Amino acid sequence: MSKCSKCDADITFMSVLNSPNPLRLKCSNCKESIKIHSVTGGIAVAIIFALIGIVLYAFYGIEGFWLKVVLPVILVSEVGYFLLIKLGVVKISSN
Amino acid sequence: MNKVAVMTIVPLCFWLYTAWPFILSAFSLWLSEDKSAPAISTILWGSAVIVQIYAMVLIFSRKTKGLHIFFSVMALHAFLWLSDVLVSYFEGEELLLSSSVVFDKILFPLLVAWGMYMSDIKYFFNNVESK
Repeated sequence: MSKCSKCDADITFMSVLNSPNPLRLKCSNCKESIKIHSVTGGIAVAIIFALIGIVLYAFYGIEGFWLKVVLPVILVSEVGYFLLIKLGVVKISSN
Repeated sequence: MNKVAVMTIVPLCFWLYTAWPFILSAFSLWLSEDKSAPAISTILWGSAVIVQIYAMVLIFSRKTKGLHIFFSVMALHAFLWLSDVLVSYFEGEELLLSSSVVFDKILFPLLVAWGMYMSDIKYFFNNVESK
């Protein structure tokens, strides 16, 4: 399921990490644009953003907030979103 | 989305790493008794502001040259600051390297540079091949 529709290459973690838009990735092999299914992707992104907001709010103001909280939270979110795509929970839109 | 990212990141970095220090040094020039050090600082930050505004014009015209100039100024800021910290440390003062300072002066500029040069945001620029 989580493959590029043009070259059939697997979606890599770097394609997710590199994209500024979580609903539109770029295949790391052929550079073709990959659209994420708007409903499943939108729900996943909304949930992830809500969780990020809760964690940041909970830890706001601690010493080294950006280094010890913000960076790890963003990295974990990227990994989580990648896994959701990889497991097929977030689907790739068929063009 | 690449355009939105560039239009957000570049002015934010300009404000945090150049415009704000320039405003602070201008205020210290205005308020302090001894004007020599704040005057040098204001001239340096003023030059950095002018160079970065020129770099931003190039960036918004989708030229990567602007990006090189912009990040050179940011790197110079971080380099001068780190040199200052190290010189103070070797002169027997306390080492001012808290985690927030490491993030502000080293990690954040590196992350932004990675984002602009390595991530998909690079396709915003004209001479980067895009689909």
